[in-house]
Amino acid sequence: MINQDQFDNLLVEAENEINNGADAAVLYHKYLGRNGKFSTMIKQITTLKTDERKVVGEKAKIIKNRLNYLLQIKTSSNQPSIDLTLPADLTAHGHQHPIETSIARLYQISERLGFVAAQSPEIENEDNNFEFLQIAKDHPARDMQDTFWTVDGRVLRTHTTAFQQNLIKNNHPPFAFVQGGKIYRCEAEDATHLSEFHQFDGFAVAKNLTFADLRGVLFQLIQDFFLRPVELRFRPSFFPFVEPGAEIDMKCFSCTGRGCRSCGYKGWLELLGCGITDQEIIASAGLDPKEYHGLAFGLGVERFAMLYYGVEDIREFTRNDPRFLEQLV
Amino acid sequence: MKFVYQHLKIKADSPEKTADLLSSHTQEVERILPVGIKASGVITGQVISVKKHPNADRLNQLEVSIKEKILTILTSATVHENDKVAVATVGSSVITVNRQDINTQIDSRKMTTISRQTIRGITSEGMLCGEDELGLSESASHGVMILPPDTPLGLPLEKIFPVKQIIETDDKGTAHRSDLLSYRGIEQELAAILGQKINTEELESPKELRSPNIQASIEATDGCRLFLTALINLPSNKFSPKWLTEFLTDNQIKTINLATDITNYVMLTEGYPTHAFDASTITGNKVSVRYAAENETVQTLNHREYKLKKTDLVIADSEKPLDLAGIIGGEKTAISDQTKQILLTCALFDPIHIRRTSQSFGIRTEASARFERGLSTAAAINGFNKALRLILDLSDGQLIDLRITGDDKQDRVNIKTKTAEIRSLLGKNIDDQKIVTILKNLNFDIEIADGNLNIICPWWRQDVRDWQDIAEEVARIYGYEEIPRTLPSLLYDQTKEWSLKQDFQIVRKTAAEFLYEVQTSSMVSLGNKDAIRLANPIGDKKFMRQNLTDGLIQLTIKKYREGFNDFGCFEVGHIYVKDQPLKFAAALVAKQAQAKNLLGIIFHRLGLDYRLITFQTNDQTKTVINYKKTAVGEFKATWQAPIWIFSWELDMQLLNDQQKQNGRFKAYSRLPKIKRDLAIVLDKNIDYGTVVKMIEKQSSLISKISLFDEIDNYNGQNNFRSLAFHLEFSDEKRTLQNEEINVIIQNIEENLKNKLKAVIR
Ligand SMILES: [Zn+2]
Repeated sequence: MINQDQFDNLLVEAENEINNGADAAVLYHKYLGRNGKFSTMIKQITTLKTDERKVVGEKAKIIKNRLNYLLQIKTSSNQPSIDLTLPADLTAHGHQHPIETSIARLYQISERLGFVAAQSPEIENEDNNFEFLQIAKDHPARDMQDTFWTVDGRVLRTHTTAFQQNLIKNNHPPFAFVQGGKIYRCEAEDATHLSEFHQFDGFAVAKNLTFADLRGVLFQLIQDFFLRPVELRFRPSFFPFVEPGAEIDMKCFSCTGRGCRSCGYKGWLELLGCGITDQEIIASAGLDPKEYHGLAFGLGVERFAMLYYGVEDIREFTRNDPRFLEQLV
Repeated sequence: MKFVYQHLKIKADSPEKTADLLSSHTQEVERILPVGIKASGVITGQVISVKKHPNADRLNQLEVSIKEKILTILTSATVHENDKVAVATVGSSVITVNRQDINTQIDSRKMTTISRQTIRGITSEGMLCGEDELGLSESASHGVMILPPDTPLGLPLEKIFPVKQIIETDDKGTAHRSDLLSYRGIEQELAAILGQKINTEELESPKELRSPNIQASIEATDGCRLFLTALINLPSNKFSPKWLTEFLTDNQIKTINLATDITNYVMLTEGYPTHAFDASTITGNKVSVRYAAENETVQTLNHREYKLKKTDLVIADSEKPLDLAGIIGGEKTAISDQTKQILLTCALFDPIHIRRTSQSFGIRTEASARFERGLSTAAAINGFNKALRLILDLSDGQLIDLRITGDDKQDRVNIKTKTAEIRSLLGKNIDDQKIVTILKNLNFDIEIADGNLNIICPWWRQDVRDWQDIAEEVARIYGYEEIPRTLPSLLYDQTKEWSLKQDFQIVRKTAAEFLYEVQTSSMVSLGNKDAIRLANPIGDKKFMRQNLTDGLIQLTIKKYREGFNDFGCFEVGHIYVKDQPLKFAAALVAKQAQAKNLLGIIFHRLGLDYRLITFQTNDQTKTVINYKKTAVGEFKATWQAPIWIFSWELDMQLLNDQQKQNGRFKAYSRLPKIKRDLAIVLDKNIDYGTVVKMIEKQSSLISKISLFDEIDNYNGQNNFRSLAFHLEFSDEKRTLQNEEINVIIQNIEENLKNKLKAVIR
């Protein structure tokens, strides 16, 4: 018949073994395992009378707890040491590029406004890049755009606006597209110029779009990009593919309009060009320009990023220095 | 262009206000510059006597009256008795110029206070100033400035040269408007902005007056539409009046002689370049606008000689070119003080011709800038009339001959539109009356009935051609800032979204946890025969890149050498092979396993997995990154002692296509799996990918193969390594039996032994 003493003896036996340095896992198996000594004994309890079963059961519970406790201590004292301050094998220390981040943000903002992302090739035909946008050969506007040409007579696009022809010919209005990407100008690089940089363009055509809509859309886009209240000034400017054409200035953050070094003492910072699409572009797709109106804008991503992050030398963006990249989120 | 505020006939109360109005309604003002005297305390005086310094040969000793007293002044300059001069008395400040500082190669200027100076026994009580010392001229001294004979004495010089403001506009944004390169154009704009109307007179062609003394013709008819000439006798040596010289000086144009000053004046005020030749230099009583003969030469006013091409336009006499048409006058045909007879010419040149010639010789002049923008017949007639009248009036000259060659018909554009169309384009309810007033103030001729506008454009607005241009005129003058901001509903068909953009952002965000995102140049110095070549490269970057990895590896090596020991970078960008695909490439200094971990994480985020497979191409072994059976990119290791640089390049479109197919749920087996281990030793040149492929082929029940151990030089055998795998077997529909798995394992082992000469451990 199983009794309390047998349980006490089991504990003494186990304590001895633990103190003699036996392996904790082996002992656990031997005493508390499914077919261990304790389990074998506890199975016999069912043969006892009810009142005895209660007394012995109490004892068994105490012994089991004790065994568990001792074996736990034993286990933890056998654990090898670990250095938790060792470095990771795969360290998280990279960073997104501020220009790509800016383009991604511009996509996000313009998608909220209802634009859809589109894409056109960087190596373009002359027609898409110039003629269709009414920048004819010998047009003085081409002065501003010293162009890279490929040997086979194509151009490295000088603006992301080059996507307009394919969009208007392949989509029936209403539509609204944006595109961010690389553009090229054949000019010497300095603190304010790169020969490869990025633009973000928007082009929407629908019935009854207005100049007021253009103002609203761009105000929202600019304010959301700079994440603060902005004061804008729309003023007349000329681009061959829009009419009316405008350029947008933003009141300088640093001097709030009084004039300082960062705004060239003008109080205003030039931001982007925009306008209502010229009727010939609308008509080229067989649409009535008095019914369908287009909005168009194009901004320099580097320019936006420089103002947003406070970067003064545009070449920082192409130096790819970790010490620069790490700072800009 | 630069406009002197004081010379504008219509303007706001201050230069600043005027500049603001122009910026908001017409074209941006770059800056406002003060011009005028910068010296202080300088007064007018008159030379009373001149004699040599008794002890210094090179100095003159003068007596100069400044009205209340007479000063002794020493000078090395040559002046004459009675000359009126600018006198810097003791205590006044002038500007001294140290010409060509040796270090900076530029002139440095500073203010200097005049003090008494004694030279060899005689004390000088002041100094005579030149234009540069007064701050009136930026260029080096032309000697002492001689003032007009009627200048009163003792007058502060500020009274004669008051400070004025130059408003400098930015012309780049208005390349379509030639009228903005003239005072009349800017005044017209300001009038409309301020709500005023300038009355203009009807423009008429001049009356012809034919004499046998000269003939004119246009031979290059596609380069010149209209050629106006006037032969004028100049009876006496007349000088430009004060208002004219002052206007030109304020506008920073040198005064030369009456006729030239007038043509310059007309160019600035009316915006049309005219040119006057000394008629005595014209051979054969005959002028024509023609193309140059190949290699013909012309010497021009900038003291240069140009060798001409057949496409360059010239005005020529019967023998030689007289000038470079529309760009710059000829040196030998220029008017001098001795000129008795001039030929005033005014031609309407084709903008493209002028632009080509001006670009090919690299000379841009005030004249070429105006012709390039495109001028009208009416503008030519207006410019010619104004210049002719001024020359005749101011010189008492006599008109001998006047000819109109070519077409002098004035075309004024007629536009019909509705006020409602203008409102609907602008999104602002500007009433009919306001629209009409704005257009009238801009000098458009208008009839309105029931909102229907019949508009005749003013002759100086070549740029206005259709109803949309009219809407712009209204918007500009009304004020862009007065038009409200509204948000249109642009939520159209969203199904056309550029499909790669989503993956693009996932890849960027994931890779940027471990690598620096960089941007490298699309233009490279090396390319194979299929590479797209640039016709006008900068430096040796002649090709468009055919992959991203080469640039990233180079960058990584560079950064490693700069001390970034564990540099890793990636770029999502296009390469310029067929279809200009978008690629995602990375290069990093790392352990191979780290590079693979990273690649694994990125694929995992995209919901894909990958496998590396090596195969042999013609001359090299390539490791491709496979997803299912498609190669989506390449994995590469580049040895750059002492480091390995691991790199990959993946095709975003292929990844995207795979991901789309992958989006559906596939049932997985809930039945127990059977696990087996397999350890083999084999030649180390046989790669992991090959072994796995062989194992896989044996049974479709293998659901997972994972490598858990790799030992190089196993048991001291140099060319051998041991690979140990966990294999997992499962089936969706039934419980597998140990026996069938044993058979599969046996087959695998047999195969590895036979085909790869592996030893089973
Ligand atoms: Zn500022």
